[in-house]
Amino acid sequence: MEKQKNNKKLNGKDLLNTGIFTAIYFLINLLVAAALGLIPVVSMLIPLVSSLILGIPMMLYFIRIKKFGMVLITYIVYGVFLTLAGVGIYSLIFGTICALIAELILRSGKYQSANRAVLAFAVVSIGANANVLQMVVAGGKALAEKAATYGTDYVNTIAGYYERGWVLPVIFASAFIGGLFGGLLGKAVFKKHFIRSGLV
Amino acid sequence: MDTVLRNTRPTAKQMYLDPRTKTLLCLTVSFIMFSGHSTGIMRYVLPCLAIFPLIAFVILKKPFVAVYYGTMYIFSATVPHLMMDYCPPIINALFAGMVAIFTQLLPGMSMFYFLILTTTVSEFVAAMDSLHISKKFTIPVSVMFRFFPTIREEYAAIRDAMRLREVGSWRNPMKMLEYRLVPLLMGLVAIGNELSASALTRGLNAPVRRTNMCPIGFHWQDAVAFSFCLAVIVLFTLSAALGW
Repeated sequence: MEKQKNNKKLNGKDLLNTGIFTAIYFLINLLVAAALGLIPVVSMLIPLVSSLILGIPMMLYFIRIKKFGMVLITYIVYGVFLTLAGVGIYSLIFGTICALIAELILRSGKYQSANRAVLAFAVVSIGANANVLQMVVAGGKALAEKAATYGTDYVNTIAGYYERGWVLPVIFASAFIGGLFGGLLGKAVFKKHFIRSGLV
Repeated sequence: MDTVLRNTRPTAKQMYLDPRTKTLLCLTVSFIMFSGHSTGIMRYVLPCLAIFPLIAFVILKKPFVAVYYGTMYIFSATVPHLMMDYCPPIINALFAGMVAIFTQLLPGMSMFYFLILTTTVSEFVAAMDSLHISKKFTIPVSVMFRFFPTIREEYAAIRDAMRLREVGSWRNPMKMLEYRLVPLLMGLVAIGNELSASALTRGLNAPVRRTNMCPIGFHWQDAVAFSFCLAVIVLFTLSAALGW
């Protein structure tokens, strides 16, 4: 590793690291979604809670990143997984865009600044949680179909729940805030445990 | 001359299909299930797609998964409709939409499970190689599959150790998070370092193309699957554009 310090290209070791942390990211996200997703109203909290918990592993990952492209690969792989699993393509599209922004944020600090890593994680959390968009779109569509069967009264009740204008911005804001606090938490844990134990 | 090693035909374990075909099937089912309306001709196409994972599980001899999938699908497709009239509007408003989404999600997720179940990592890498997809994508994905069982194992060990010492319970979630996630991460990073050393020794960084002995290739069964996907996509386009 020391020999290739000046090498900007990703090598096998970086790709392995990317794979490990993507696996952790995917599993924890899955667990949070499985735990909270069963209850409809609480499922709106998934972006907040998952970003908060994921702050710890992701900070360990983000702070150690020294090359361009690793965050991008993580979120592309995550997005492709979600797309294949039928959760929708939005996570792939927005995740890639947000990961690019996060890469630029990390790069602007020359991969040294921990605060920028926190910010980058918060930004990327928005993109990764864009699959909520699919829920809203599909929910509305499924309801429109049922309008004929169940009458307009019923549909109006539910459509209000899904298609209220403020729901989406609030969810994305909660993902961002969760990412921010998760990142700060992760940074604290990073200082408390990982540096002291000599892991980094 | 065909030997066991140079066998190019996918076996029953792989559902007789090429990984690329399975990926296409998976994508088709998840996309059409999610974006198709159950109106017009799609009223007949959507159940066909929903039944596809069930057939796959039966062929793979996974009776429990098949029964589980069937029950879940039938439950989410029928029960909300039956209960709709007897529940107060607030419960309907909260649960009905969610369950409707679940009906659409379930087949896609099952297809993904089917894809993972029938494809080994080296088959996947070989298929992606022949599609000229970059190593930057295939290495992380193969490491992920290598790591899922490891994470589970490590976490179980840490959970037992922490229970023994009575550190962190549900009453104190922050503490629990810290004392379980931190050791887990430390263990995983150490394992990762060992793994990368072993992978580098076996030529992960080598600039040459990886060779393999996986049964990758298209046969008549792939053609059938492709035409099935094509038919579904054409029907979907027709129903979306012309309102069939």
